[in-house]
Amino acid sequence: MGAALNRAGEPPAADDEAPPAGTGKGPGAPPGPHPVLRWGSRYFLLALLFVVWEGISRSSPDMALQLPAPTEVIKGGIELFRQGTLQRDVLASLKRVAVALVFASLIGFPLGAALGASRKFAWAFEPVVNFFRPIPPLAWIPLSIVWFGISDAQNQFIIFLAAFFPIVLSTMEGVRDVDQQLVRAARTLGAGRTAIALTVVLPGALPSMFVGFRVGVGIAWMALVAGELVAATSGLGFLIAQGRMLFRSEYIVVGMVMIGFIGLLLDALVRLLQHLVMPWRGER
Amino acid sequence: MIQNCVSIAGVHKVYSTGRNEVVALRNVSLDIGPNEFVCIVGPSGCGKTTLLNLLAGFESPTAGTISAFGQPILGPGPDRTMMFQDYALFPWLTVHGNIEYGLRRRGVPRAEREETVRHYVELIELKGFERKFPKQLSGGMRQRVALARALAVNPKMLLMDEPFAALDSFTREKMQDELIRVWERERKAVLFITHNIDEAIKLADRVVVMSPRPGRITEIIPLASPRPRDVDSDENVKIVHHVREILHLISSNGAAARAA
Repeated sequence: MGAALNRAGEPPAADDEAPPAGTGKGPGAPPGPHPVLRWGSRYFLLALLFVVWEGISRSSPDMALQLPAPTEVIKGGIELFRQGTLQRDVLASLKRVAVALVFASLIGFPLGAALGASRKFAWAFEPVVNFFRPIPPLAWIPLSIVWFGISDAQNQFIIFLAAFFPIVLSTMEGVRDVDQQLVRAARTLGAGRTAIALTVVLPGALPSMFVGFRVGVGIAWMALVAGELVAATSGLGFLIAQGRMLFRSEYIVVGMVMIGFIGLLLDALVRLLQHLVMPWRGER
Repeated sequence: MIQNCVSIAGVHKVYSTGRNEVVALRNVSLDIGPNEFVCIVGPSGCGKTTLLNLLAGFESPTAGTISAFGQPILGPGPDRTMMFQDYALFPWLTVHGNIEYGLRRRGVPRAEREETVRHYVELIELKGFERKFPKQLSGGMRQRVALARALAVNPKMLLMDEPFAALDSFTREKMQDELIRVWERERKAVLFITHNIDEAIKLADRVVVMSPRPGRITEIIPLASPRPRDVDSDENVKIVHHVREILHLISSNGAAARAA
């Protein structure tokens, strides 16, 4: 005993400890005189960077090609948007990731759950997983081109591989680490095997499954760009590759910025989903 | 003659790990009546938790018979619910959801479930907390929810594995009073494990003293005085001393045996 002693230390009834209220500010907001000043000082360096970047770019035509000015990038972005290619490329990339994630989830979650639930199955199957796992998804690109040609399927295959292993491994660990005491509690309350799987193991493993999914989405997004750079006729990676061929370096930067922005958005989306599915985990 | 609720007869439990054999229980026999409150005290390694796990149906005895309500115990069942030291509440369910869990598994209709949950929420005095998650509750509140969850399926017997050990002494005393209050209203057989002798004397109809290596029952002490019991009364102090003596004897014997 002893380990959990202080857990009961709070006064009973009255107010249960409210979740610690966040400050609502960005990470580690330092104490400052005025919010506007503080905000200004925080983004000052970033603004300065843009200004210097603009200046350097405009210093010579050669520089303008090497490093397109922020204003040029914005212009390029608007141009691509007007032509409709930007939307087309974003959608093409998102569609590939979505298809690949659906397949990675459909195979990855059940496989991970089976590996976590059955020691025997894990014993027999883990060597297979461990053989393929250390091979980076990008190393599959040449072979996948041989198999699928330059096609959506080829890109989706690469993205699938990228998302698959984090999902499998995290699900396996999540299922394995489910609190056995909770399983026992469920059994004494009359839960059978199916009920335990659905009402104890699944919610118990859910946090870990989400971690795997989030990591998988992140890696998938990176693998997508690499795949499209090499072999695609649409998508943000293709946009970047095109920019290089056409000597339109502002297109390259447009592609880069979009990739970063959408990556951020996807992560926020997964986090939102996580919060909606697991309200008991509280704010984070 | 009242039929026994639980009957343990000549039970042995041996764990084998590789070549080693550990005798967790040797020749344990114990009958528990339908409304009886039995406390087991003993040092760690005396097999008290093993005995509880056998009764819960998590494990089966190596030899001997163990039956509940006239039936041999083949597995866990909602006629014998268990309360754990670390509460073991489902973190993803609210207070309401936790209490309701066993009822849902039995397919109890919704209206009846709501009725039962309301009854137990009132009984444990947690009205207004139905929609809270366990994480948002204090230790004492969590253990009350665990008690309500165990009672909600209307078991004939409660198995309690040091349920108050993680609570501070103030909350623990409150919980002991509450348990007695609930038990007097709901009348079930209770097997309660503790290493706290005062707690055992406060709660039990009979105190079972167990000793380790191999785990066995050393003595059974009936307590006749009515509740609420004053642990500091002369009679009870005597009993506490008596139990302490037994336990001391056990530990010094153990030390002697190991030294020899």
